[in-house]
Amino acid sequence: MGAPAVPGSPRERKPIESRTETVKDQPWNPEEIERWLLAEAAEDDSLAEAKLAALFAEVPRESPAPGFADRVLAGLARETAAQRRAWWRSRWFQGLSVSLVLAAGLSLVLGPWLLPPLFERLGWSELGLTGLMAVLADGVQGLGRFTTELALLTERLDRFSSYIFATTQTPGAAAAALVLLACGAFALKMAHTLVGGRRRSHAQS
Amino acid sequence: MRELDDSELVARALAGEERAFKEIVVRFERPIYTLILRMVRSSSLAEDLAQETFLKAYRALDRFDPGHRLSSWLFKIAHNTTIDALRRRTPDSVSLDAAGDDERPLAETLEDATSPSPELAAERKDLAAHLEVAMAGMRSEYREVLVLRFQEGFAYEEIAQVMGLPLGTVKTYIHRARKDLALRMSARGWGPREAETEGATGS
Repeated sequence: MGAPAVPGSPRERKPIESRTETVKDQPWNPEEIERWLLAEAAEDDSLAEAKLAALFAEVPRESPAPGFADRVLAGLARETAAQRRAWWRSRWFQGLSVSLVLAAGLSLVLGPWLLPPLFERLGWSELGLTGLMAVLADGVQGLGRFTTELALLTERLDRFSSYIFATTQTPGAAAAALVLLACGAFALKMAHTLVGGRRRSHAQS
Repeated sequence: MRELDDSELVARALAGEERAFKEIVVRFERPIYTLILRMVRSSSLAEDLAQETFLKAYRALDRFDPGHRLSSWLFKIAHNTTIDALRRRTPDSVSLDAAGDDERPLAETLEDATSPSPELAAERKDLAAHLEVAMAGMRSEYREVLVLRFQEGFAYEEIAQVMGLPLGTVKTYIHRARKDLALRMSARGWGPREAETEGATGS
């Protein structure tokens, strides 16, 4: 078993064999291959592994063409630039654009038909362009106030959730939460039993 | 940059330092390229896939666990990238087993800065060429385990992690790959003389 020499095959090692005697400082020689194959033939796995590792240690690693790292960085830069350029290709942007175009089209078609009665009802028909602009400015101002309030509320909610999160990190709070959870589950179960009992008695009556 | 260890380089690259990522590429370009080249046996494709590997690594850098070796992580990305590329391509476009489909002969891609003399460099190229020719007809998984185990010195567990295979399969692959390579080297005329073989086997 293992890797014996092929009977009758010529031992074609001329390029290396002819140099073994001439190059003195070489760290490996063709005999290393033979020692490895001998270990393989002897089924000595650990020796064979060691010999093959020694052989591979002498094999230089292949190199990509010079400037490889620069090409990688250039590729990275290209990719980043492409991502920046392609923001308008994103699905949300395309959806938004289509919606805007549709809304504009609809307003052009339906506006002259829907707006006069609406303006009439709101009492805007007498306002004129200046009055309408004032109403619009009021609306925008109101929207700004609403956004500010919403931001404040979000901030407060955020602080509250952080506080809850920090509090529940303690063992006591965690235990209290567990007890509350258990009480809640028990209460639900009781309510379910009660409702079930009433349904049954209602059906019997 | 050169004195920094891998995790420091990753941290700096994450902070946006381009030079740090370049140093990572420089540090690992040869082993990554070697592994991919052994798998695909085409220098241009290997270079493309090595580039893709580093780009993917850059994009996923924030997911790198500093508790692991950077080399193992990069090799895993290289392995997956190469396997995906091989699956995408038709068998005609990348021949896994046919020898000599490389645009650049292996000996030309070898460069060893540590060689003390041209003779030694030639010897090493010679050895590499012998092994390369013998490995040419082997399964790509076998070539990959040979590189990871014997050239990169990875432990069995690391190889299993890189290739996404069970440990037992990796051990079997390495054993079979070694035997296969030995057989191929023997078929090329290498091997112990009959008397030595008899002595070694005790028959």
